[in-house]
Amino acid sequence: MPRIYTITDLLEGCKAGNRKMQEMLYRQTASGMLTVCMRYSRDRMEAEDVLQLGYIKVFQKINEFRGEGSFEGWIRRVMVNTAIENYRKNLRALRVVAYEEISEQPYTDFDFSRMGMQDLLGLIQQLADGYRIVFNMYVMEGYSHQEIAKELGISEGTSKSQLFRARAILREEIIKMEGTNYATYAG
Amino acid sequence: MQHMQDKEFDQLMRQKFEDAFIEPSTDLWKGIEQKIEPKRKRVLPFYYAAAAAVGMALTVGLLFHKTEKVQLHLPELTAGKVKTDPAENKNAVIAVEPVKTLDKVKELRVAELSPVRKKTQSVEKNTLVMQPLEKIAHLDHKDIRIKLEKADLPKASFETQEEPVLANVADASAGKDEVINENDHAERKGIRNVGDLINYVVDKVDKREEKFLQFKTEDDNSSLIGVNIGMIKFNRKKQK
Repeated sequence: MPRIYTITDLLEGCKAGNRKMQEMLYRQTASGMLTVCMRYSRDRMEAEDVLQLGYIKVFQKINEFRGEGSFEGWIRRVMVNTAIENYRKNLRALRVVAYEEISEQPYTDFDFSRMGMQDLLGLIQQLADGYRIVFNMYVMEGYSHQEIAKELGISEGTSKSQLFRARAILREEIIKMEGTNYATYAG
Repeated sequence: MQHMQDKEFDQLMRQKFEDAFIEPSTDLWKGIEQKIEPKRKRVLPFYYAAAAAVGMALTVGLLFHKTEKVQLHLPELTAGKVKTDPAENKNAVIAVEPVKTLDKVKELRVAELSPVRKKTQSVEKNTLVMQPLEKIAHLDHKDIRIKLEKADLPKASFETQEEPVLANVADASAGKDEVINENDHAERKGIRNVGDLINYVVDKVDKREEKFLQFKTEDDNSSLIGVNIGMIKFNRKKQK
């Protein structure tokens, strides 16, 4: 009968470099962390690369975890930092986005509470890299524009405008999706 | 539905991803596991390095052994049948052994395939070999023209130039005997003191011009004049 380990057990085991405990920690947390990595990536392959790098860092730096905040929160921060590093490393065609993409529609009333996570994830992944990273850092992780500007080496203004455009594109895409959903229901 | 503010929008987005799970590919853990192999294994390269060093020493020793044969049998050189590895020739230095009373020889070239060492070491070595020879080169009043050349010479030209030149050496039979290694000198005098003994033993073991250990034994106080152990190289003769 498999013994149930608490996250604290796993932490201690990992600090001791116990391979079994490391694997247990991975098995217990990886699916949540892959979701984080997926938000920052274009596709699953990139996300899994980041996840892999992230866990290697987790095990290498585990002794730096001082127990401030939750262990899972710490692992998540390592993942986010790895994703940011990955973005910086692959810094490709940032800010090269056709402006026609963004319609100047006023906010319309819409509801995406019924939309699934997978659908939304798909939309986020389709965002240009620069939009996606700012959206994730600000909306999902709670970074300030100042922090984002510092991390990515851009101006606060750029960070704000990228967030604005990211939101606008997402809204538009959600409306499109919801529209097709309603059409499906109606038909 | 009300007009949705950014804050609401963001809030809803966050909620959608709360407690969301996506299973990673099954083989992903193996990749992580491989990359976090225990660091203990890093100790191994030390042993490899040690083994490599021993291997290097043996190889270098063998190379010296080979070249030494060429050096000691001058008559064979005159026959022009020296078959040496082209690789060895590349780093070889045409050098002249210390010649003291050589009057008749106008032009002399003795091929000494100096110890072949790798890269930077070979350069260092070559310059050291050349040092005493440059001193001799100053003694031009004796009509001895000595040519020092770095033998980047291709093998063919090396052989063709050899015959006429060394024929001269053969003619100058008086001089021929004088072409002696300094270490042979020491050997002839017999073993008078500890320094001689060490020099003798070292000479048997190390056939290079610059021994790994060399003592001055002219005076009764044996004093260390030469050390040549790889990186540590010292020769008092050349500092004069």
